[in-house]
Amino acid sequence: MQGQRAGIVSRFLADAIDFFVVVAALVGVYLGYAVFRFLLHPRRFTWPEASSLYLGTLGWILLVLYLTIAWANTGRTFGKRVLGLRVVTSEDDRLPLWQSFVRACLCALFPIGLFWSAVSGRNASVQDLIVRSHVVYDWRPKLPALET
Amino acid sequence: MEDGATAPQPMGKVVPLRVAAQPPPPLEQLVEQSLRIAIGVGTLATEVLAEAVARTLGREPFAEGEPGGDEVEHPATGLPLVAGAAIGLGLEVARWSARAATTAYRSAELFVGLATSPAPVRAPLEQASSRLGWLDDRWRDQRPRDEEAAASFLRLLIPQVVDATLDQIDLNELVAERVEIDRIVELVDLDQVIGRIDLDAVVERIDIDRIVRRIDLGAIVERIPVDDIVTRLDLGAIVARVDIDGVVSRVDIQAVADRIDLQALVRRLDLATISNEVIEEIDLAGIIQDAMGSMTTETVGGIRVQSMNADRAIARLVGRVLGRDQDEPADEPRDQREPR
Repeated sequence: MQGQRAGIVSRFLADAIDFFVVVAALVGVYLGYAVFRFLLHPRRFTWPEASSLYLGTLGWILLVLYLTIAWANTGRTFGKRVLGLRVVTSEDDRLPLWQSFVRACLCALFPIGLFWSAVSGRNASVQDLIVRSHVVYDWRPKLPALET
Repeated sequence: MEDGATAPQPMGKVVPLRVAAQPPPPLEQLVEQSLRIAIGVGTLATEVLAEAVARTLGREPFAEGEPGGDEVEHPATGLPLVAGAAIGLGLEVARWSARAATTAYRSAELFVGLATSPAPVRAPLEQASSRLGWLDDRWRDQRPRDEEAAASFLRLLIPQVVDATLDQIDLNELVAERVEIDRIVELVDLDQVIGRIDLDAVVERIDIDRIVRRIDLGAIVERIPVDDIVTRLDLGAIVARVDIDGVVSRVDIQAVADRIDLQALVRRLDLATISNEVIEEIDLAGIIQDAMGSMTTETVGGIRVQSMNADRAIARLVGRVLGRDQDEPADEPRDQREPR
């Protein structure tokens, strides 16, 4: 199965993990900002009030940055690493930065496009069709056994 | 003592005179024994006088190298021979005289018995006898007071005599010459003596603190060759003979633990340094990484396999719905083997 295109379940689980990673990062940013405010004005400290739009925008930006950096470097986010997946080009190479950015924006804007991979004969989502990328099984190879 | 024998009396008291209930010995034996005693006393007195006179002349009674009086006897010659013969003659004369007197006494007793049998003679004799009995009774009545007076006198006299005698005698020299200490010690049953000693009472009377204060322990310890002793000791053999389990079972660990000031002990420890050393020795990060790594690898492997199987199932279902050809290879793995 190494190098074959991954199915909908693996990809959905990987994206779900990435979503929670981004949510955790968002919470971390919020807490960091609160700590920063507390250090600036300890006596007048109140928890920062963030609107849904503000948080949503911030989360979307974090998601795009996270996916772009991950795909452009190793081709795998934390979720895809857990599930043993990798995003590659049609030539099985690493995605270029611009291609990674476009794919990240498409994934963040239209996440439901992932489910096209369930009906696609080549397990390709809408984002894959647009940027000509694939998601393949790429389990981390095991280390060779120790010689005793 | 019902039979009239002399009973043992405490020191310092005069032994009272008792009339023996046994029949008196024959007269000749009495005379002979009395003579023997008199001659013996005379001989001893003569020897003592001779020795005393010799000492006044600054001469030992028996010069060194000469046999003593108790050792080899030389045949007597000269004046001692004549004196000894005279004494022997006296003994024989006394013995024969005693026999003659006994015979005469018995004959006189028979004659007196015949002479006093008539009544005119017996009456004055009985009167005289009763008179003698009255006198005897009077003496017997007075005897305790006489004895007491004599005893009082002797109690005063004897200590002075003894003191005066002891002043003239060097008891240490006397004991050294006459007493065989080793023989006396051999006769003493030391075990019995020790058994009769109340050691607890003895120990209670000892002021151990005072004794310990007077002991210079430093000087004693300095004189002990500790290194030599230690090098000669087979500590392994000693430890092997110790019943450590028995010792430990007798130790009240709880009581020992209660007496330990753990707080003070912990305060004295440099816990920070010890902790750092322990952490340096233990590759804690490596251990956690290995444990987590193996656990994570196993878990992730399971998730991957399950999701892969789910992918395949979904793909088959969609393909069946859409009427695609199922070109899945027959030997496709469904277990936890890694994709290759």
